[in-house]
Amino acid sequence: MRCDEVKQQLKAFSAGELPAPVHRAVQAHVARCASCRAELLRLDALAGVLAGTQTPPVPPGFASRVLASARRRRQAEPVPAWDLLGWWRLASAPIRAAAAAVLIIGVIIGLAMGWAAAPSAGQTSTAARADPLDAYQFDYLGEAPEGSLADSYLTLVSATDEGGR
Amino acid sequence: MRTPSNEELMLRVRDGDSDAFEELVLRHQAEAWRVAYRFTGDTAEAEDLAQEAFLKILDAAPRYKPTATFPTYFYRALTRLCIDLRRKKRPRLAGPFPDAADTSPRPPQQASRAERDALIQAALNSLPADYRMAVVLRYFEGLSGADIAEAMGRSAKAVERLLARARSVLEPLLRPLLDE
Repeated sequence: MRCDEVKQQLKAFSAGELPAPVHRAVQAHVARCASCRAELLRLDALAGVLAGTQTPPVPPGFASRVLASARRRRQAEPVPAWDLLGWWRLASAPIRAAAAAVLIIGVIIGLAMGWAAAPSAGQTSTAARADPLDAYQFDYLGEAPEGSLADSYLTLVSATDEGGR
Repeated sequence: MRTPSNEELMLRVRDGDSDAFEELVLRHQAEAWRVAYRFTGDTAEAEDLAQEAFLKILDAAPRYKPTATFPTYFYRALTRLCIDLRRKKRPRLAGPFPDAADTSPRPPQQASRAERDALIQAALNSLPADYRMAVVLRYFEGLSGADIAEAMGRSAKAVERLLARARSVLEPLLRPLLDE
């Protein structure tokens, strides 16, 4: 900025009415221009004195150090596998859309399979009335047929039992 | 290609975009550094605070909503860190405030820039934390009363009172420079 431009802005500068970038441009000029500083001191002594100071520049490598710390912090805090909400927030939009599509397709297939496998109304009432043991001819109190696996097991158990006594 | 706004970058950071975070750091490192340095007067402490402010906004990114402008959001995080740091530290009973009489043997206008800066920083350091932050945001960052109020979580009237009290402390301390 030129001195004449800065001098026009000094009143607004001292009242804190300039947009922040313009304020900083005026301040940087005032810090190195004795004539503008003297004018500002006349308008607002404290603003003039403070504007005359120079802040040291940002230390070299500052941004890299911030980014390295951010990376370390992110590595140290993995998102837990069960944190679906956290995963959803961090996932990008295409991944979220794909996940939603897979979920919807899965629900539709599940419903269709359930519908197809469900017995009709007539079948359900017959099955509900029938004794399942009769329906499947399951005689669990009857003697095991000779030569069957159950008969062999019972023979084996009885022999062990008698031997043990 | 259009340059993304700060708020757009912050929304991308929320979605896990590390390039967007890098862009925000590069854009705002100077403000962060200036505020932290003027508040602490110490380069190592200022770097820690400025760095922590960026990490704070990264941690809070999943909850970010663009209700305020990014600078206000960022100044708020930084201001809170600076003031909390000062509250945790014991008050400085005997700071390195240069004796104004030391400059008397020669005319004040001949005081070197380094001496002037040291005198100003020592005067700032003597202020309570909230007065000092109001002065830094007002005189060094050029924020309006409303923006300072937003950053400090105070009302605009409370900020005006802080600034008035800060001026009443600073003016006697900086008398040799004000009378130049």
